[in-house]
Amino acid sequence: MIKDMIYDRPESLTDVKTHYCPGCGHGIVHTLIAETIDSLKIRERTIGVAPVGCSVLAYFYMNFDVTEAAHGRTPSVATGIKRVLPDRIVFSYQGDGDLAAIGMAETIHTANRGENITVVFINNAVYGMTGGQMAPTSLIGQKTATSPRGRNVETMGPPLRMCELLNSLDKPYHIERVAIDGPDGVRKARKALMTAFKAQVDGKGYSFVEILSPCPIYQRLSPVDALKFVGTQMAAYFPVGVFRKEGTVVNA
Amino acid sequence: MNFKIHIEKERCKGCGYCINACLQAVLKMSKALNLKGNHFPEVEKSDACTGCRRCASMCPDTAIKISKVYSESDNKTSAEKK
Repeated sequence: MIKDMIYDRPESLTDVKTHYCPGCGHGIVHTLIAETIDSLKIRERTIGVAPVGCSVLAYFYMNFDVTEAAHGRTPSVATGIKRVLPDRIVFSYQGDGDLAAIGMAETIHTANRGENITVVFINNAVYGMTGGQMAPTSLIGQKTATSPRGRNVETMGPPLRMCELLNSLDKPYHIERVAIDGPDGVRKARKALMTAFKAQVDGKGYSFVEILSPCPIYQRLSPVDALKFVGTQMAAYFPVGVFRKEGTVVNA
Repeated sequence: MNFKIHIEKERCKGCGYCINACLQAVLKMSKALNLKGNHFPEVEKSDACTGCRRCASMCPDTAIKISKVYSESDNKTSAEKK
């Protein structure tokens, strides 16, 4: 009997068990990032910047250098690292509260400067770490701790579409939105991350990948239903696809 | 040639993504609990596995590993691959 592994844990993940809830999309995206870094063979020169949010402990799980930034200031810290150490591959890993709420200014200005970094944006339409409050990306009518009767457009405004917002700028090189709604979505997410990291390795400029992700606890669904929620309701408001390819707008 | 699914049951949190992802219904949820008190997937029909890796790619806790298993009659193919 000869054994041959066809799927194994990526080398860029540590052996630590994650603290994430059952069915959390962070675990899947951590694995995808680790696989991307392994296949590009850049593990020894990669620096990640972890956000404040559920993924605040990402440095326990990723087997390369990861630093921590103040809430929302992740792209600014990544900019600093990239400018001081231009040969390193720097990516920021942010949730929707970190990127679209408190870190909006940093996100837009970093994209506007076209810094040669990669931003991975996990959009689960809710604040997970603090207890399920309404996020800027919560859907219309979505019940959260701070919108118990559902998000009301009149008083709370409609959800923010970050990819479309950043696509109005001149400098970004690659902008793409994918959804983790099943194995097919995971495969597309892996491809999007590969494109984004490859753009940075080649020195092309700012790449941004938004990943619609399940949060079964605060989307108030079972894990499998949360996948369906991501694939249908979230993907209906946040259309999936490539927005900017090689610096040119493809889907305005 | 068959495929063997290795499940690290202590990593599992019982979300059921792997069972949902499998097109061949190879996996089923266990009645037993792991140390954290979660049900975990068990391999029910390992012969049906096609090695597509859908279950492993969906696992948030990387608890699933998949390997090829060559039987005696496959010795030639495995030797060619090596």
